[in-house]
Amino acid sequence: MESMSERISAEALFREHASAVATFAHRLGVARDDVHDLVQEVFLVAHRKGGYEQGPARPRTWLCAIAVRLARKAHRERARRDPSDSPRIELARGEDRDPGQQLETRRSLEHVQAALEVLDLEHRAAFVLYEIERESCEDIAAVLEVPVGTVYSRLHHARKKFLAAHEALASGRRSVRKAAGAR
Amino acid sequence: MTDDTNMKPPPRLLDDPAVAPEVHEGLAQLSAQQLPYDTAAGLSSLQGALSSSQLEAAASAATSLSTGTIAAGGVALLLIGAGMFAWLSPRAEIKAPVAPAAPVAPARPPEPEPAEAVVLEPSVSAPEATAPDVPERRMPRSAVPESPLDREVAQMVRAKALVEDDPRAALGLLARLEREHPRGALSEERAGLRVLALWKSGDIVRAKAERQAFFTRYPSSPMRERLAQLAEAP
Repeated sequence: MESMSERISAEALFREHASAVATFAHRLGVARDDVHDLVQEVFLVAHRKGGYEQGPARPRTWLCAIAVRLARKAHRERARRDPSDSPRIELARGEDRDPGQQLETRRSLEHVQAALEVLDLEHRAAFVLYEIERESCEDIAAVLEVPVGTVYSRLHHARKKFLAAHEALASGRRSVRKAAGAR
Repeated sequence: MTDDTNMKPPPRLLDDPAVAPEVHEGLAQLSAQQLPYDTAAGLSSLQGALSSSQLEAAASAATSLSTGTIAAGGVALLLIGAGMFAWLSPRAEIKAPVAPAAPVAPARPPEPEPAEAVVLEPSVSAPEATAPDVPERRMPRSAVPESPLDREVAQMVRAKALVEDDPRAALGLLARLEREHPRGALSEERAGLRVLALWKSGDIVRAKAERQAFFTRYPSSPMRERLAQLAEAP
């Protein structure tokens, strides 16, 4: 039937999604220097699985889920080696604006990135897939192989923690600015 | 503690008017940004890996074992190792694209379009067909620090090269690999290669036992069929 023809090889997947997987992995907290290896591993796993087969999730979501599992493994190993190690997101800037606006934008971005750091990997994966990649909860549940209710729950918790961390960062900055202005 | 307490998803932050504009701004920025990654270089190496694995398969079939089934096992391994070979000769070219002195947030140099950028002409000369003379170091690594995966791949290549001519040495190397990379990315290949090495060394009983364990642990492995054929060899 059609199922065979809907299989996508690791090579074709790489062509289409390698860059997105790299970015996703980094958003997930994989250190920049480790992203290359993780991307290679993702497509190695995809190759082992015989490529992507038409299923409930889109190919990119499927690859992202592989990345989550590999990142989880790497995270555990890294934590064993150095519990204080927590890579920061360092993505490329995509556009230029005037310096003032750039500064504001950069600060907004830094706060979001820092707030992401407080999430553990499971919450962070759900959060990034939902909020940044804009995947549906059903797709996330399918690829992470958890009930959709678990995804909802993770999203609620992640959102709460994320917003709290963001608020703390932003208010910290506000108070610093206020103090600086009072001088 | 249950994970199913919330039975509907929260609104997306970017779509939620109750969320502070600064959060919107930051998330929108994060969504729009991409990590520099040279897809073209990566793809070249992948294609090189696939074609090289086919070359190896042909060479292996032509030169190696007297029993076709064992050769088939080797071919399977080589095919499985396609991903592994992707990290061999073109390693530096793949590595380069990930972080080619790319802009990092604080410095903010205007790096326009990160992906699909300059490709360091990946001389994807397929890893040679026959493995035995594969040197320990195949890739120029001057500028690129060797990662654990690099080391694992290099050791796997050496082990694979030894399977035919010196399976006992291959087994020793595989044991070392397992010690050094107990949960390495190539665990599946390592286990499959060990079955082949055991078989080749004449330890058929253990080879069959480990093959069975392999089937249990990796039920959908592409190596499965070939290893099954190996077990049926006379």
